Amino acid sequence: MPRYFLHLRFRGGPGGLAVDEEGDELPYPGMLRQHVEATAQDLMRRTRLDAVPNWRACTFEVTDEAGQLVLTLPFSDVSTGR
Amino acid sequence: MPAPLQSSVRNQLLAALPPEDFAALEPHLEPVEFELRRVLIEPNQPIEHVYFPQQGYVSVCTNDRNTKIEVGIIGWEGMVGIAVTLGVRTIPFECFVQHPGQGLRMPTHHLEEVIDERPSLHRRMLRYAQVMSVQTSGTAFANAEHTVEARLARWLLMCHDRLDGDDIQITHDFLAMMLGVRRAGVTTATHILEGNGLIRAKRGVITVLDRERLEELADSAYGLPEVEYARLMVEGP
Repeated sequence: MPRYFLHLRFRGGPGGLAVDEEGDELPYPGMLRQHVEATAQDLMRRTRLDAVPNWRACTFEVTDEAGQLVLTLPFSDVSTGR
Repeated sequence: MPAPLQSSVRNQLLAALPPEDFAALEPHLEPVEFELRRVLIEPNQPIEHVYFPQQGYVSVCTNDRNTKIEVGIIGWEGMVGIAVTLGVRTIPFECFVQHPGQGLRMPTHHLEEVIDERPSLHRRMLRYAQVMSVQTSGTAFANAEHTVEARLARWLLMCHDRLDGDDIQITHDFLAMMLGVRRAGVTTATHILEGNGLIRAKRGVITVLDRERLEELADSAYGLPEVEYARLMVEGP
């Protein structure tokens, strides 16, 4: 099963990327966007971080196991589902 | 395996007992290995043994179909299966080894017999049950009131309290489960704490570098059950 790493860009500069070293395994690549959107939605709905005053300014930068950028998802593109 | 001497016991609940109370428990105690992830108590299954950790610590987790969230941590200060002293034989939660080590265990029915005969021992264990209740309340308070950074700091401090060194073996995936947030939330909080020099995070290990500043960050999320433990269990009622 392919593994994807969801790095969170929460502010500009080199210190503003929270690097995901563990990743999520998905049954098949077609599920990726839905998975990343659901993760972003859940974060926006119920996660309070001092480092992230505004989730909608964040972006997920997703890489595959080869380290290739496969998806960039700004949180502002994701509905909060409400 | 010879029965342990009270002076060699690291478990604080046992070590602090009056010698005659310890002597009543001692014939029933046996050493047990705490392998990582070993389940000590299954949800809704009879509690066969109670456990006194000596090294390593145990998580109490909710048993929801989709989400496990940690609601308690028990290490050398306490006992796994305290519900027995409240008169019940099953709990709806799972207790499993979160950090490997070892401990002592005794069959539940023996503990029930001993506390029936020794009200002062029973009262002491009920005071520990109260400390666990305060810890659970502290978890609810932290989850409702505090940011992920403070909750992470609290969790690291509670683990650090129960460890010999400064290295906490944990993946972000597991930590996300423990704190009830998405892994990206934990990864970001870890990144912030590391950037501020409070911890060092390598894959699978978080090292506590600056405990004092972790306590400052955790603020009111950390400390209440620890104060109550000292007040009720160490200083006495």
